[in-house]
Amino acid sequence: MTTLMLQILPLWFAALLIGVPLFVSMGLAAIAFAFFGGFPLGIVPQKIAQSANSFPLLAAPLFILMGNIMNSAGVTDRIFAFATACVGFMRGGLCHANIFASVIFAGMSGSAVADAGGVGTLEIKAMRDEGYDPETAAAITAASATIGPIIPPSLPMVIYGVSADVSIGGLFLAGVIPGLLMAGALMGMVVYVAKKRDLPRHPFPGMAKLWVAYKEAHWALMTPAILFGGMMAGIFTPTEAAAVATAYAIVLGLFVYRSFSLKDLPELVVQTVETTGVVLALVMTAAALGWCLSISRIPQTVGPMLVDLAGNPLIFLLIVNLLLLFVGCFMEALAAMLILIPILTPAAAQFGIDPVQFGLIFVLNLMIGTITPPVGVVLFVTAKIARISFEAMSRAIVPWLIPLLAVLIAITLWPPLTTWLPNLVLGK
Amino acid sequence: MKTLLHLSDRFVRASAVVLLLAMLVTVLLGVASRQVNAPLAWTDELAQYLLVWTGFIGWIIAARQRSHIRITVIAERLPAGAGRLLEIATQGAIILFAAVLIRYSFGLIERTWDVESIALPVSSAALYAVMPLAGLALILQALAEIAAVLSGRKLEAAEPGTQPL
Repeated sequence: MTTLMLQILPLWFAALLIGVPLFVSMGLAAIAFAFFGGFPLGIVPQKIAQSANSFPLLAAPLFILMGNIMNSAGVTDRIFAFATACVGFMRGGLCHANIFASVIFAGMSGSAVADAGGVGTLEIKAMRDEGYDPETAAAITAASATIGPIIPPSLPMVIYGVSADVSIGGLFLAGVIPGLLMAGALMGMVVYVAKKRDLPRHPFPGMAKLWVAYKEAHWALMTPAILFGGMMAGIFTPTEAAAVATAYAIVLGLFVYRSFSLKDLPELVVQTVETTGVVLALVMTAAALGWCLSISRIPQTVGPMLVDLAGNPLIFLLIVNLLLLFVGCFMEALAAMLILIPILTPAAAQFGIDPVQFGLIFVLNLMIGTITPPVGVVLFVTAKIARISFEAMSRAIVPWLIPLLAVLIAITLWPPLTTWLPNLVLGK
Repeated sequence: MKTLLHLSDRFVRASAVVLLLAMLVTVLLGVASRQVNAPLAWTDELAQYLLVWTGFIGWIIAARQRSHIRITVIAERLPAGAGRLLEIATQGAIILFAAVLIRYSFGLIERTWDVESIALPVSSAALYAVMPLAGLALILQALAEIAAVLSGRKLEAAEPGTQPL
């Protein structure tokens, strides 16, 4: 069986490279394995349908819907105004506000692209109006958008948790500290750049104005509180939290901010289902291929090989980081995740690495991958918003990768950054 | 032909709206019923069934919008003729995959027809019921793309903004 799979994998990879949609190529590889391995072919459609018959996975469409609704519910401008009032008085004020707004928005959306396309549009415009060059504006927006899926809720972590069988609640909690560290590191970089280039600052607005900005944003700022409070109090699971927060966002948009009407809802839902289709097509066919991989004992073969090759956990994590950063340059985050999870997680388990820490390392690597050329979704989106070329965008992002890589190194070397909070809340 | 396509698109989009909103309501009902100490047994199962259906409807919408993830870097660098040939081969692969799904999903429906779901009063064949439809839609879309390639029309790729993460 192992040999059969090793013959199929290169063919699958070739199909992928010539442009066969990823989910089709994974499905065909599973079909080929079942066909030549003498299994009934019905097993492939069965695995495909059964893998979506999962309660945790419900969080995927619900979080996508929540992000879409939040983006059109008029909360983004309130959040950005609040962030500007809070940190705008520092040198390079709008850069800080950009990062701070991304942190807040991260607490109500689970996707870097949603962050870049939603609050990012606003941030870039505001920075342009104040005379920042479009490259800097776009680069800071792109870099801070990667915080979105690290601070919960997070779509990549739902997918990781479902595919690697790790607690989604644990992954969510594990993301809080690294997410804040990323914001801190990016802000540190801004302080340095602002000093060097003598960037503008706003006067401090005074407590009264700050209070007004807070009140304007109050109901939007409650979203993370509802999500966390409910999950921590055990009222609902992460999946149910997604549903509750989505309902909250709908009420907010329809009745409180009146930023959209019931007529707009179908379009938002159809967009959500489209994105869900892209995600689920991959998750479902990856589950079928994953079944073939485990039947052919590939993880059991590759795992010990990796263990022998690396020797100790730190070298292994170093290899994993380099591999994921490299793959992240050339492949969509979701695709890379689903392909590499079955290969890398068994080896990580053999080394005794905490599955939650490994999940965070995995997701952060791939989020950095969304802002590295030549394939970087967030780079494409922000370059388009800022109306600069992809090449200019790729050059501008380079310095902003340094703080993010520093956080990646930190969570790799020091497990408590990721494991302390989940162990504290969920117990060990 | 045009009106038929328009009608089926509207049908797919309408079912997407119904399915996703029903899923949202079902999950909320599960939370609420537990809070008032009268937990309902069937909400989890129903929500999961709805997810499977939504997933397949999503496959169809994503195929219509050409937003399924694929690597086009290499195909784009090829000379026009080879590129078109490759595109036809790619669409052929989609048709093969979808055909296998349709063929064997009927077998699954037949076999699970008598198997009742755990908490819902429906057959567990419901899980597989939308798969043939999704397969059919994938095949029709692939045929349309092949026709477009043969007639030399240039197809627009999806915006990168539709990427989920």
